[in-house]
Amino acid sequence: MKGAKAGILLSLVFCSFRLQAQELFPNTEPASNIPKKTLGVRLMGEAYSEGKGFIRNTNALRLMYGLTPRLSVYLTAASSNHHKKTLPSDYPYHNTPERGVFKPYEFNGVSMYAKYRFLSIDDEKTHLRMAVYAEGSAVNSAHDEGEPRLMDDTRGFGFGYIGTYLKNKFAVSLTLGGIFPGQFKGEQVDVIEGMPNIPTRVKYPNTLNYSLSMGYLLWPRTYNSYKQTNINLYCELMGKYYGDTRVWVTPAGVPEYLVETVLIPPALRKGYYLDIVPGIQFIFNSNTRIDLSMQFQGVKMSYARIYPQVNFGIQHYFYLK
Amino acid sequence: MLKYLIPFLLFICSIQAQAQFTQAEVSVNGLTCSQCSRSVEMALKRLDFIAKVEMDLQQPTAHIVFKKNKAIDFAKLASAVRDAGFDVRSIKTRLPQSLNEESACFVYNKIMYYNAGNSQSAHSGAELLLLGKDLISKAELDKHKSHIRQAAPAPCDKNATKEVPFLLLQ
Repeated sequence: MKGAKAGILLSLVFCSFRLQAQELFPNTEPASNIPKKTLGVRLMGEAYSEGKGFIRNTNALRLMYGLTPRLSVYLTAASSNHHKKTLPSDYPYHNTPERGVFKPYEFNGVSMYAKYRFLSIDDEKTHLRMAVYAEGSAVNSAHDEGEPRLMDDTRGFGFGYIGTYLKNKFAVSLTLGGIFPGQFKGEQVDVIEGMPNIPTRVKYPNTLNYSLSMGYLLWPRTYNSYKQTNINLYCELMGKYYGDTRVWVTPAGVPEYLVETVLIPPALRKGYYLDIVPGIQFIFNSNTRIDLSMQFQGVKMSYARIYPQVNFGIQHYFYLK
Repeated sequence: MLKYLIPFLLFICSIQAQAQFTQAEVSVNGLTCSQCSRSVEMALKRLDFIAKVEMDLQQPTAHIVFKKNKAIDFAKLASAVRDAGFDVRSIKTRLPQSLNEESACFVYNKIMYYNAGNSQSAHSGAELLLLGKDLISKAELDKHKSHIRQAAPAPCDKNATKEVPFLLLQ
């Protein structure tokens, strides 16, 4: 809870400033696009501690390209030490989420994202932009929590809306989207030694994801050169609302059956949360961008991480001929 | 007589052909960060008729110097700004040739540019604001509607394929 309080306090401090707006959010997408014929390369990382020296981390390489001024496409390859080849034993009754257990650092798979900006009302000191996005994932991890994420946890698809508004030097961006994950078909090791693995099927819940992001320029106070290092501060509120996970198991000699919801742990049940994510960003030579942010528990909690989680990103644009 | 007149006319025509836009100031809407300005600059630099771009990060405006021997296409210039994800607020440039009150238009690269404001003569180099539909956003165009006094005149050149109104700023 100390982390949550610190996070809320830090966020309120950050959010109370009202300077020049920035919409290059570290953890969410604005309604604006990658410029046409521009390739963006982004390396991302997330890490949190599970205690006793266990650090869980996820890394991703994202290639972003501006196909047209209004349409951007992203390809993301992710890897992490969040998953084993099999689901935890005695899944889903116990050991979910499985903490403090060695899991190999492995490639999770690739996902695609496309964003189309359908509205753009720009003025000198105001702009309103709206975009829709769609994403799809070929990731197929033995993800043991219910909350889905297409980048590294679950296969499936999603789509949503982004609205970014800037007025009188204050910017705010809202994202509302749906995630429709697929199934994971795999196995879990039987708790009884010598017994064969138990075929297990998991249907992750359809999920609503939402975020509200704000940002402002801390430095420089006045732009006069591309060489000035920009320091931007951000405050993002990010969360998800999801339903119950459904799990089917097929122990030896027993036909497949659906595990009753009352028997599954909270990490697999219907839930929602809102994290508070203050962040700082450095932009060098008006191009190379470094994002650092910390994800704190706000309302309820996500079972897919332990708070606080540190997020890191480095991004560079290549302007192609 | 013709022996002298034809070379003289050809000489005059060649002077007209050499009339060239030399520079422009392109103001851009929606730019809120230096990275955004850089994206606009890089998009403009892709155009083969642009020699130099300097961005004023505070306004924000692109100060452009054109190449001397290339045809200047303002529509491509506006399109480059849009490619970077932004809108053009205004394009100001300078008259490549003098205009008198009777002849309020000139043709450059098969495009007829005409004075849509009050009739007046202007010297080469006078500052003008371009009002083409494919150059600046509709909202910006609407802001200048009240200053438009004249419809397109009879073409200065029958070969002109497009018309671009402008307002003289002096």
